[in-house]
Formats: sequence, C-alpha cells, structure tokens
Amino acid sequence: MTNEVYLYVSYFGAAAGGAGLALATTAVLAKPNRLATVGKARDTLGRILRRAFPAWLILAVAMGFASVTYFDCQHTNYTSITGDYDHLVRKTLEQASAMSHYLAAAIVAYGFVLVAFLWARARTSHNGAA
Amino acid sequence: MECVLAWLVLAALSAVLVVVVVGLVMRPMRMLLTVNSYLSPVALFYVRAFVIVMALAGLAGTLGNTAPCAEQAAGKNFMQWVWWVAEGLRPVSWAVSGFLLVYALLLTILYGVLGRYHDK
Repeated sequence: MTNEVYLYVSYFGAAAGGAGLALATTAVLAKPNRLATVGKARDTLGRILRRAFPAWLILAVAMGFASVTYFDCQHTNYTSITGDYDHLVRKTLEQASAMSHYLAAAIVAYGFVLVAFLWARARTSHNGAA
Repeated sequence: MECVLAWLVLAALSAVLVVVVVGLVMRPMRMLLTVNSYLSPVALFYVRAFVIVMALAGLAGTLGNTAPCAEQAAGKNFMQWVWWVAEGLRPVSWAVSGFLLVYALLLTILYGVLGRYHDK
C-alpha cells in the first residue's frame, strides 16, 4: 500500500468510524433520552430535543474530524504530506482522538440542555399548569 | 514490537483508570438520581451518558498518544518505556478528570434544580 492509498483509506475510514461512533452513541442513548423528554407538558420542546439529539452528535463528530489539519511547518504541501507515513498515522490517530473528545463534550453539553428542559417541565407541572 | 506492546499497556492502564472512576461514581449517582419522581425518569440517561463520556474521554486521551516510530524506539531500555507509558497517561488523566469535574458540576446543578421537589 502506498502512502497516498493509505491516506485515502485512513481519511475516509476515520470519517466513517466517527459517523458510526456517533450513530452508535445515539442508539444507546435514544431510549433513555425518550424516557427523559417524553410527557404531556412541554411535549413540543421534548420532541425538538429528541429530533435534534442525533444531528447534534453527528455535527460534533464532524467538527472534531474537521478540526485536524495535515499541514504544519514541516508539511507545507501535498507531496511532503504523502511522503511521510508516520505523519499520516499520527494525523489519523489525532482525528480519532478529536472526534472522541468532541463527542464526549457534546453529550455533556446536551446534559446541561436537558437540565434546563427538566427544570422548565418541573416548574410547569409543579404550578399545576400542565 | 516494543512500540505496540507499550501502546497496549498504555491502553490497558487507561481502561483500568476509566473503569475505576466509573465504578466509584456509579452507585452514588444512581442513588442521587432516584430521590424523587422528577429525577428518576432521567436517571437512565445520565448514568449511560456518564459511562459513554468516560469511555470516550479515555479513548481520546489514549489515541492522542502515538507510539514512537522505529528509529525512536531503537535502543530504548525498560525504564524509558515506563516513562513513555507514564507520560502517555497524562492526557488520559487530564481528559478523564476534566470530564469528571464537568459531569459532577452537571449533576450538582441537576440536583439543585430538581432535588428540592418532594413527591406528594
């Protein structure tokens, strides 16, 4: 396998792996998310949250994937990038690391959004407006 | 060969770190999230999300370390490999502790907001 072929395989493989990770995370959290957001009160808002959740995770992974660049001081053009196999491996691992990081951050951020939603729902039902 | 072995040791230690942290926090978290009927429907989400977040943090920290290439690995003795693994644990510890801190803050806010309600 030449370095250029490795670049193609690793780049698109990392993208596919990241998308798979986001979808798997969505699948694992789908049922708990539905349990947390379903209900009469604020149901429209809950539906928005449930629909936005997969897109939110996939976009986070996409941001992590795109945050890594192959260019640096030693690798200023395409030939120098494809000529350095270690650099290609390093960048692939860096992309995987960034995608995992962004995905974890997105789940935690969604947790904060869910707190705000639950607070609004509890206030509504506690005041008897549900 | 030593590169792969060192990287596997680092990955195993990272996994142990994540499992220990999750094991320590899981039970009290479940108890916290079942104190009233406002919190109990969300317990499953926050518990599963915590496990996933910790696993992803460990993965991100581990993948951030690349094994030394063949030229760098040549001539390294045992203690140099130990130092390499110890150095590799730094980003893993940072990621796990950072996310743990933020998650603790999240649970504190969640409990502060919803824990004050009492079931009738």
